[in-house]
Amino acid sequence: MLPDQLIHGKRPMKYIASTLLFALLLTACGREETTTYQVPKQPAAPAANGMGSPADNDAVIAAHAAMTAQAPVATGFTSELPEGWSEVPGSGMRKVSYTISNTSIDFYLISLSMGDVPSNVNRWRGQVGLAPATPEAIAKEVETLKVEAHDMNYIEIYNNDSGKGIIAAIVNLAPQYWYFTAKGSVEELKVHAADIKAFLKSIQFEGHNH
Amino acid sequence: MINKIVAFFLSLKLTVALLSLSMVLVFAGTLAQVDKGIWTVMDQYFRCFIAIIELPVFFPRTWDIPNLRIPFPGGFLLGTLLTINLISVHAASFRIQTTGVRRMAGIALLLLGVLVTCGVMFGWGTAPVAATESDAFWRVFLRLGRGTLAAVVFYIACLLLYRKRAGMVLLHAGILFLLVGEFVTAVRAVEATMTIQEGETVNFIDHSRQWELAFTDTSHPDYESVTVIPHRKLKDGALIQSQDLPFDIKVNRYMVNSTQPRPLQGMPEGPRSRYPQYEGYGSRLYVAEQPESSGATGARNAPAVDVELLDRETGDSLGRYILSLWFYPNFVNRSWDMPTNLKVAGKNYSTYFRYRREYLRSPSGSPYSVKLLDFVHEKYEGTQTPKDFASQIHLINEGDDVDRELRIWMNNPLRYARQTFYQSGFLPGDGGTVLQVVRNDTWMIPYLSCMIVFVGMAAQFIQSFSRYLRRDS
Repeated sequence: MLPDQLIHGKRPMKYIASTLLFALLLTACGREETTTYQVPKQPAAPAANGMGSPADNDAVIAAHAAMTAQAPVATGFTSELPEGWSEVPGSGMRKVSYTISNTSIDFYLISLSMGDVPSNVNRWRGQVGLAPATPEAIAKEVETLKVEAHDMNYIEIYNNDSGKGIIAAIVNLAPQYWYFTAKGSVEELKVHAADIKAFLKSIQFEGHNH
Repeated sequence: MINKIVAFFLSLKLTVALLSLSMVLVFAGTLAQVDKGIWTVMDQYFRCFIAIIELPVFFPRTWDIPNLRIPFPGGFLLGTLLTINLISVHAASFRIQTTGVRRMAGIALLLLGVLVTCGVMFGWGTAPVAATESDAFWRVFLRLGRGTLAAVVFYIACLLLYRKRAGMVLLHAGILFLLVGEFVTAVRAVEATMTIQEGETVNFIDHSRQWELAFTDTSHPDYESVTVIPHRKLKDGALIQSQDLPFDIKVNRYMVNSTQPRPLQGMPEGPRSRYPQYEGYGSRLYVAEQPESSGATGARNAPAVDVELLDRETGDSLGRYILSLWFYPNFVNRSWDMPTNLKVAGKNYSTYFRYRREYLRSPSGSPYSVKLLDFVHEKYEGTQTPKDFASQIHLINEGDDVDRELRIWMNNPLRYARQTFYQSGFLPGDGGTVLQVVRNDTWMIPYLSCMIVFVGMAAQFIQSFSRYLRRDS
């Protein structure tokens, strides 16, 4: 049953019309056109892992394959785990991770198809809050270890001001490079540096499964 | 005639019919996500006035069902009709029952209620930089409290105007407010992301559901000139001209989704022989069209565009290029950066097919930026399961004199300049953060309308209960 006033009045039509108009106005907005604008010169973005040149196709593909890998990847090596360490299956780009009990150290392995030492060391220095160093200075800091027949560049980076540190090693398995990275506090890393180094030295590769 | 239209909109049958149609639409839209992405389904079924339902969505995909495309009332049409239905019934059933001073006081309070609602919606009286120090529970509680304040003002106004029917009027108005709010959110809300490496300062966001072809002229020593073509203009066969570019762009193919780049030389002979002769990355990498990702998988689409650049004067081809979202660093979490570099008419262009970029500005028009100072990613001990992500950021807006260090972490977003910045993801090796950025001016409406409905229902209940008690005694 409808009130007569409402049926004969103009008000409902006004409501209906204004609601429709409101809906149309809202959906009609937002036409898009080709535009040109100016922005200040952008600093070159710090491309992760130094990629970007056309010659880096393989690196792009390898990194992507690692990133999107769904199934755990066989690590392809054996090693002696120091006491208190445990192995965690990899996920995403990580082939494998390790936890060291009673610490917050994050230690993991990733594989990339590039292995430039100075740019990676400077990337790690940036992560702990240190300014970039010259390639000469880096060369002095980096220790070259032999793991079976492969070269391993080992470095410890500490920033006492921020309290952060990184112990890292790049294993040259060209065309692949393995990156072992341990991140944590300076205090904890210094305590466990010897273990980490011993672990890295104990690596034995299983064929070419890398 | 008018009588018939009004009677139509006042009918309860219309409400039932519209709700039934909504159920069918939701059902079809849900099934359609087996084959299509969630946002395609949103546009095709819900965010339109006329939806097109494809018959095979209701059947197993192995059955050979003819692909009948059935026009159906879309989400906007159903919502608009429901709103008109509700307003009409509201206007017909609830009439102002007072006159004189009482009526004037009621209207004044109603306006005050609108003012309070606007204040709550637009955050009047709250800090311009809503930092994230407070506890999440109390923050939600406070928002509901603000909603209650508006609801109580409205209730008093309704009491003055509608007397005993105040509760009913208020609760219907609350539902209407919720409907309108959802509609505005659907049309106007913006979702974007912001990717920042540690130590980097970023002053733009990437719109998640819009893309653009961007030609950046890097020739000038002081600034870059960027010409952007929205993805909606990149239609197959389109010829795009801009007076700011020395070439025209012919669109050969717009791809809703494309495969990840693979080395061309590693591809089998068949696909390789059919692959166009591209310049740039396409000459070495294989990027092909692939079906849109299913909404059921949650995978992201990587649109791409196959274009040919033509000399403005002679019409000669300057090369055919494949430009994919795969080449844009923020799509691949900065794993790589692959701009297509061109040199045309003495100018250098860096080209991306990328997410639509919006430079950050506060409501005063002043540009601002966000620097990532530190990213923390804690995991549950012995597992890779994330326990906490947090971004320590530096918010800088020189024009508005804002210079603050803030922390954004899970469930504790930053609200600033009509945007909300949520912790969403991180870059490989924890080297940076991915923030989800949402601009939704009507985000407070659910809080407000819930409390308006609650106050209306409570008032109605108390009124009926006391009437029952009086009758009983």
